[in-house]
Amino acid sequence: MPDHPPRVAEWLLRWLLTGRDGDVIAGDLRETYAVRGGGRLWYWIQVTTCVRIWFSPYRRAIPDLRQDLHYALRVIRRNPGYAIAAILCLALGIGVNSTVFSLLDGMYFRMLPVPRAGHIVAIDRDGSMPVFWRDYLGLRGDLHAFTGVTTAVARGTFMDVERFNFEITAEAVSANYADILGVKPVVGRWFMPTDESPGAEPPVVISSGIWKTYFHRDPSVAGKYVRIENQWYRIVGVAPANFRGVSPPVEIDAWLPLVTFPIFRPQLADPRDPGPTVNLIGRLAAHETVAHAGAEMAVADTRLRQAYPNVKRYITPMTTHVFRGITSPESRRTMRAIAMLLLAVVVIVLLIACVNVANLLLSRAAVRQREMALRRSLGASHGRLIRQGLAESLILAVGGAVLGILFGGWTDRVLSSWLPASIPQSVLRGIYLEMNWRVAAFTAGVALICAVLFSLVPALEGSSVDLLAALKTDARSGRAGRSRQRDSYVVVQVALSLVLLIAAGLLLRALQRTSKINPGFATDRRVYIRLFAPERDFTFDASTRLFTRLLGEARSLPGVRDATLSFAVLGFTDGECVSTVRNVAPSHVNLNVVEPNYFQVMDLPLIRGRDFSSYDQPHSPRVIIVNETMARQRWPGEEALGKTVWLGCGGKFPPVRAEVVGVVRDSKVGALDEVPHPFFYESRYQEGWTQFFALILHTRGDPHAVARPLIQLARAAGPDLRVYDCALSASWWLCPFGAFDGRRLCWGRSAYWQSHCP
Amino acid sequence: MSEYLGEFEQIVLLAIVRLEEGAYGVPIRHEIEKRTDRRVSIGALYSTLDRLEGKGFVHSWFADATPQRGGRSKRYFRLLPEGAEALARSKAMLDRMWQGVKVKGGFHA
Repeated sequence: MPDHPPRVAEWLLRWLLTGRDGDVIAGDLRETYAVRGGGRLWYWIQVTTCVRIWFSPYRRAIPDLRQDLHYALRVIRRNPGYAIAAILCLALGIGVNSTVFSLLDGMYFRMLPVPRAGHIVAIDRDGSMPVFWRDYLGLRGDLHAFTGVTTAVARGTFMDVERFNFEITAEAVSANYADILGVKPVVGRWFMPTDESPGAEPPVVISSGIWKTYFHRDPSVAGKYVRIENQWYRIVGVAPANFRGVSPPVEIDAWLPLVTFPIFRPQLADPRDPGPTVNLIGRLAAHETVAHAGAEMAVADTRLRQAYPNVKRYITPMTTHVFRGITSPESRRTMRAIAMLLLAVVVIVLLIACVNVANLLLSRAAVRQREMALRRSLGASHGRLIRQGLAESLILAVGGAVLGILFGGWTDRVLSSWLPASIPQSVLRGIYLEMNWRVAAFTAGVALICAVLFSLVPALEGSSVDLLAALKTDARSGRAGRSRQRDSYVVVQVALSLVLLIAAGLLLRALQRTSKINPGFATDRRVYIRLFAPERDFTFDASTRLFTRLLGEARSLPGVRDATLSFAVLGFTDGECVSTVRNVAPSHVNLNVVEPNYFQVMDLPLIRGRDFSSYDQPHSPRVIIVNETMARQRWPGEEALGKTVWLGCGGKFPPVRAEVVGVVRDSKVGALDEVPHPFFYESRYQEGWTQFFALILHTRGDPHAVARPLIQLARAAGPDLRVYDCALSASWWLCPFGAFDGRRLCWGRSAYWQSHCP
Repeated sequence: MSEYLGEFEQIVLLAIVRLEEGAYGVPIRHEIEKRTDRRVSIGALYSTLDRLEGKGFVHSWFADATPQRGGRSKRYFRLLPEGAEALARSKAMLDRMWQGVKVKGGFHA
């Protein structure tokens, strides 16, 4: 018979129960063990039961936790200074983390703000629009797994409200849009099937943003008219403020029936045309699953493929998934790089905040050594003191989290201003902080981890005090150990700060380097405004005359040295099919359509040949000027000057013969980090594209001074001329943020527009 | 204090009263097991004792580290007047409840 109970069990009991409680119970068990004459299994059962009851929340944790929290609050009230410092520090760390998580939440998890959002599914083909309008009309009645399927296509356009003309993003939708989504208007109504009938008055539903900005929340806004794409629309309703459309991250300003949208009218009028491609959004019928709906869509997809075997779009199979976050993989990919960079930065900021608070608590532990020693001598266990420390940290972390969430709105705006200015406003508005259970859970989790992180070591330190020395003196003992610990905190803090500093330094260096990249054309003292004269408002001659007039007026503005017109700006261009031998398959080459003085105004050196001249008119022989790369690649080892090319992709118009009359130096077209591509220029007097131009001014002095007169000049041309964008050419260096994922992210927009352009 | 006691709390308090000066973990447990004929885990016993001490019904102190206990102290318990009052109150309450009650088997108070 063993005379000693199982040593492991006894050790476990004393270690877990800690302090005198553990000792007393171990003593009782030892005594009983001896009386009953052994029983190792009995002993183990006793120990396990004891530990289970000891740590049961009903027995100990809850009353003690309440006591701990109460005591911690009292300590904090007595020393509010350190608590405020710690809470502010944590609020910053937790606040920015919550904001960035909210961004990720918006990208991946957030559902539409509609009833039973989990039943809303998106149907696409690897992120692209799945069907043509014609085929949507054909298949919508055959789907039984859905209560209905609706369509939406987001398009950038302009809206006229009285004397205001502004850029908007509209969703062209089918009439059942709001019924399927279950979104209720705050004013008026959504669409009805009769709104799609031929001859019906075109209706529009405006966003709460437009309602607030341009109608001052007028409750009788329904019945008023706005003009979109030169067509009058009658406002029938206002969407709720939290509803931003189904095209995230783009925020939608207006909804209109697709069949009334003038952009699609030519396609819809042509019986041979399948109509525009549309997004499909469905609501699952009761008791239906996404898998079943997906299977039904796959059958419909197979039928489509059989009916239209030559339609390339239908090769990629349709997929059905719950509508969450940003559905377009392209947009996700573009935003992921920025989001990940932000996340890395904010996690380091949070770690620094934690180390700071840990340091603060450690210095507090030194001050409170006597108190700890006293509590130990009165019977408090190690565990109890550690828990006390944790309770204090938890209060600080919760305070930080609450304040962090309140900061959230502010950090959200900071974040928006931090994002590349080239991201369109409609997207920036679409990136917003939304408090939901996921963000709340994340914040709570971060706060909890923080509390454990920054409290553990100081709490352990505080609980392992040399009682006698601490009670006799005012905490001199153990000083060396603590100072070592604080040193290690400082080391961690410096290391983390260094990581941030290096990252920030690299970023700044990269920005500095990109700002020094020579785009190939002059950016100094150049300012531009982008203008669009739509075909439906301006005839070819009218727009040519208008731009010529604007050019002349711009040249006569005070402080302007010269002005020119250019179709392309950095990050925005278009292409044309070019072949060097007639009837040989052409390849796609980017081009710019310019005013003849473009090369002089932009200091783009002409290497060989001649510039465009006033003799290059619509009916004179077509001429083009190519860049060095095109000259080298198309005519290797030969002189490009005088060579003939054929322009045009075939189709209705035969290829047009053109002659190379000049070679200019390479310049950047898409982004600053690109390698030179073949590129060519045409005179605006010879090319039919006369609707879209950037009016570029070369100023004598500060280009900011010219911005306002330039905008006024453009506005004076009337509401039909769309004013897109106003920027300093020197701000183009903001564009290469796209270099993070090697793709172009520059939409040719600038913060300058937001701050200076009305 | 007008707090009523749970059944096990009453049993533990009564065991302390019965043991008088010798009330520490082992005899309390032994007393309860002997008289109630039910097994008592040490964890449940100390948990209840702690709770009773927290309510101010008993007072405990440490003493007598003996060799057969591996040199570990005993924790003695003594009933406080508040505990005695709570016991009396609980008994009175139960008596009142039992008064005039007949249950199956013919038992009545």
